[in-house]
Amino acid sequence: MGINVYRCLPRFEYFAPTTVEEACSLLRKYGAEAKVVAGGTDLLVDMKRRKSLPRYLIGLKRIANLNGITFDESKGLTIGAMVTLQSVINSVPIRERFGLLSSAALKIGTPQVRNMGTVGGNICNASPSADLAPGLLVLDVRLKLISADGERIIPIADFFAGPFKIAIDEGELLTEIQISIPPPRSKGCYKWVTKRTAVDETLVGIAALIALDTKDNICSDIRLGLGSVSPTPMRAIRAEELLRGKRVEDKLIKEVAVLAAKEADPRSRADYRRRMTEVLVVRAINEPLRNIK
Amino acid sequence: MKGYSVIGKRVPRTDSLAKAIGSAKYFADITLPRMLYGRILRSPYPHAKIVNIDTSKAKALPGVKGVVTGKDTAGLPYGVSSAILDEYLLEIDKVRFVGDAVAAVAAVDEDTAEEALTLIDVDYEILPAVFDPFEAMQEGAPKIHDQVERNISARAFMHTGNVDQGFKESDYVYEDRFTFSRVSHVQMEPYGALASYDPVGKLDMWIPSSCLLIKRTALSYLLKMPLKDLRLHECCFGGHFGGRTDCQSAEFCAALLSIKTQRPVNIIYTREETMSVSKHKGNFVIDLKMGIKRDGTLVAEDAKLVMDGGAFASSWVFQVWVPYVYSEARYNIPNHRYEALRVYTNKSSCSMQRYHGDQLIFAEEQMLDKMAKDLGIDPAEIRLRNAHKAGDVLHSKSKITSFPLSETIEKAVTASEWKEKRGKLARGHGIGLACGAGMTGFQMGFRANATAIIKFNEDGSATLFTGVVDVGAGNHSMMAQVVSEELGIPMSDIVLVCSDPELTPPAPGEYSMLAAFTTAEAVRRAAVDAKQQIVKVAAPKLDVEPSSLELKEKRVYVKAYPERWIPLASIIRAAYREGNGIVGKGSCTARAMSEAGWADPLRKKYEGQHAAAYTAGTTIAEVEVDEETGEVKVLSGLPAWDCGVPINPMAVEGQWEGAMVSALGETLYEKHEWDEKTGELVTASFLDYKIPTALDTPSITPIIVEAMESEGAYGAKEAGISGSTGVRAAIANAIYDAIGIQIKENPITPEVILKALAEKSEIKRVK
Amino acid sequence: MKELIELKVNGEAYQVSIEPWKTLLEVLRETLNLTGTKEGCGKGDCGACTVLLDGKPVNSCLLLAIESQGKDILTIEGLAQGGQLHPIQQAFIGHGAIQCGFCSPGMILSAKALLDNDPQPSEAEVRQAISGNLCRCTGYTKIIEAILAASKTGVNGERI
Repeated sequence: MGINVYRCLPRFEYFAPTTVEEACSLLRKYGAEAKVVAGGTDLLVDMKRRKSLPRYLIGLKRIANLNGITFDESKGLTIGAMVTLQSVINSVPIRERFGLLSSAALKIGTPQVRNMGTVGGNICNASPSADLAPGLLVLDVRLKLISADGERIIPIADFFAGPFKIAIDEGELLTEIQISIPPPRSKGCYKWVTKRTAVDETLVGIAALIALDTKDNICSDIRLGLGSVSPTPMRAIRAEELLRGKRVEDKLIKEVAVLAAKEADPRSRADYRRRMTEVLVVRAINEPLRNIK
Repeated sequence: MKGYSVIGKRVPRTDSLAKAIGSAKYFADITLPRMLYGRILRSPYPHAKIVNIDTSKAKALPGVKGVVTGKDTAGLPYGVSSAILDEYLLEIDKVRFVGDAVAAVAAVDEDTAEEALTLIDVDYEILPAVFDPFEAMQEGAPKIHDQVERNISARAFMHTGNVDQGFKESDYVYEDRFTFSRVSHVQMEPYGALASYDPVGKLDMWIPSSCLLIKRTALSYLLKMPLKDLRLHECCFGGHFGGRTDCQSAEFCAALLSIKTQRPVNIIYTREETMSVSKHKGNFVIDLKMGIKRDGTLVAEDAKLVMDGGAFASSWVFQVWVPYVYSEARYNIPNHRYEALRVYTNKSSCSMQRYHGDQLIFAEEQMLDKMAKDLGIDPAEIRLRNAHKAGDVLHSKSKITSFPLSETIEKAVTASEWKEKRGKLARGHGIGLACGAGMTGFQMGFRANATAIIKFNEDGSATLFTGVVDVGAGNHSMMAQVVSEELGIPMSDIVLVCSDPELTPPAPGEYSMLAAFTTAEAVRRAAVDAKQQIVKVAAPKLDVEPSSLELKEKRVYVKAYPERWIPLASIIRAAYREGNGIVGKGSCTARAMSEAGWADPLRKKYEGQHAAAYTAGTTIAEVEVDEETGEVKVLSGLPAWDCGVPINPMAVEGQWEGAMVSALGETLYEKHEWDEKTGELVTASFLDYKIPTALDTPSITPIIVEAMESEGAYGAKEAGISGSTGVRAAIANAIYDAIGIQIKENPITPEVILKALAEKSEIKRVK
Repeated sequence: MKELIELKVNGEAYQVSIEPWKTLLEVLRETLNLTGTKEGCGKGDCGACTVLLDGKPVNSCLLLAIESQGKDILTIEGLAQGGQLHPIQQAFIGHGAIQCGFCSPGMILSAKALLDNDPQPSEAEVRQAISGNLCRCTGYTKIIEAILAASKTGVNGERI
């Protein structure tokens, strides 16, 4: 590829639709030659590198109704796809009821990037090391996708098709993320190590959600989301089964961690990543346990 | 420092205001009428012959005004010294690393220039490439430069006493190998250059630099243009750290394009270009052996170093000598052998870097900690037993004048609560200490001179002409302090004209660590000279002897009767009326620095004064190690160092705080990597190469240890290297205290920690 | 194809004709000649291009100029009011927090966004706020001192 000597973006034609319908119709019209731009923090970087060369750019910032965060005890949490990461961090309901998402959002990038990057953009970029994904997998979120043909709602587990690949049809736009209330007496957390410095790509990211029946210390539910240790973010399903319905004790937590590390499928720095998966799963389980009343 | 009104005071710098309001101009901020934008086409191969370049399609693109290749040049190679000219800033026959410059275009806007690059067709004949210095030295390895055997670009060798005998006499002997990764200086300003040629024949240029003088000389030679027609301008520079002394393809191509198009041409590198084609800091493989007696006195040291120098020589022989300078300066080791080789490889080339030489210190200082442990001696104590002091003569016959190494150890130990902490903190928490040294100046021939001129305006304000460069450390402001002190003029009433080879007399560039020592001294002499002229004119008017007069607050007053004074402005005007306008002149060359030194190709022996003066210091670091993840966190940093005396303590602290964090980055996080197949640098952007953020470092608490250096201005030495060379070792020694292991590779990543823990890694004792 | 857009920068409205692929950084520096905002990497990693968009710090190198309309953009040139330096600028100068100066405009604006939101931050909060602004010269120590000192001065110059 050679050294990147490009300071400028490549040339493109730009549209600024004001409704979802308009955006979808543009997407259908221009197909593979078009890309949507949300916060721009991933796409514009790829374009400057000449890795991505869309002839048409469809800006989403002027579309109304994509920026909202709504919370309701019965329906749960709805996050618009264009909500910025900083807005997620600022949101009181998210911090109080879905704290692991606040932690994950705070991990992403820098203050500047968090003011620009969006939840939808982060999900659709589908980096294997994405920080929101493990938490979203653990919370079993659903994604609302709209196209000229209508809308569909799919579980997030079905959305990640490969590194930087999503199961989205041409002409479809992600508009909303829907999250149900977590089980009662449950707490979650997000733990990570980075590749190098504090502000850096995540090397291993573990999201955990644990529900505890405090009477007899039985784990009524456990969900483990693993990020950056496989081509797509994943749930450690077999590891979860080891603990679900059992009494919580250190020896068992360690076994869960060992199995989760085996389920992981890291490519580079594989040994260290597996080892960190083990370490962080233990930490990610123990911390919320301390906070459950 | 007593008795001064401005020197030694924490004064705000003269250049800070413009930078704080965004009006400071760096080369990329300058727009000239009809300016074009340039881009450089770079080789995608690490080693290849250039068979043919077809620029016709690029030339035909609307908006492209000029295209140049090596055929458009005088065909002359560049070198930091005329002793080794091996770098074609625009290659002619072959390319030697991925990124080597092959062609350049200038167009009316950047989009067009970028498009034009894609239209240049180059036929290459790929040659085998070599990336490892040991492989490069083998028989049959690809020859990167035709006239060079075994790809060795420089060698340093010194043997004092008899090391083999010394190891026999030692009670304990240690031996091990240490390896390091390549790193970049990472100046925040991307590199580039602006050139503006006018038809009358003058070329104006703005280039980030540590010294415009030497770039002017080089460009004059390469462009076959007389010095007087080449006008290099001062502007703000965004960092240097040793990496912007060499000429690069940017200024050469900008000049060629500007001459060809007869319009200004601005070439601004991307960050990836800056990281890939600008100079790197060289990395060594070090085999170190040291011997010590049971009483803690060092007996022998044998160091063998091999440095990966990249495709060109740059400051070649300096790079293999500097580690020795710090090695022989710190401790008295009677038997000392040192050999260092600099080797060519098909990668970006390496220049000097601010704390180059700290890799050998990393090895030595860890070895000392192991010795301390085995002998049951406190690590600080073992260094005190061997430390050099002022007046000592080193193996090279360099004489050390001021050198408060022991005092810095004692002050660091006290301030850090060393005795309460070392060996006593909880597992995973450690404190470490390391001693370093710095050099003030080196032998650089006539370039060691600084000369300064001061002239006055009729209102008593003054203009200082000095060749000093400020790449961010505060040199300009320092000169204003000196003039203010000697002439009693407020700093705000002093105009600085600096580093413009057309207007200012010469000064050693910022790469020389002579700004305080020599240039400030030349400025002081110029101010004293002006003062003598002033008091001579004023004396008869106040009816006293000139020696009775003093200058303060823009007044000339009688020392014994301060209420009797004349405004300085009156004296300036009087002097003009009397036919003797006041112009101060001062000149200074540090002793022995006017020798040609290491750069002298005829030199057989390397004895002599290697540095005009030496700085000494101790760095203490506290760390916390997470033994499960291997992550290292630096909790505190304390550089207790010597700079002679600080002309502006706030600026000196800033230097040492910055040095510690920069070195912390190199020690823990920074590492360049190449694609094994293509030879391309894969860590060329901030996505893959991380320097410390504010979240990665603690606040640093420097301690300035004063040690008057008689030859330097007001007793000053340098603050560019001081504070930096002991950081890497201090962190490693803190890790040793925290978890009992020693480190033989850099950067110290979590995997390195976990591996060392598993192997219980310590430096090997062989006797 | 160039488009006419209106940008509100430092309280002034500018009408400029630019291509859609021009970033806000390019338009500020090259079209409006406000060169105080710097390009350090062009990829959103270094923060040298930080400007405030409706009071929030953003990387102008990754913002399309065409999408920056209808916002209040503050660059370093707009910080001093009527020749009076902002307390943060004064503190940076007084505490030696500026060396080569290349990171300073972005750093000062990130600090302003922090203090406007949280007038009395802790050291940890200051570090977090400037974690997107890289500096190679200072090691951040005096920058943090300056920001904490400015926070004691108060954004209107009054002592808190």
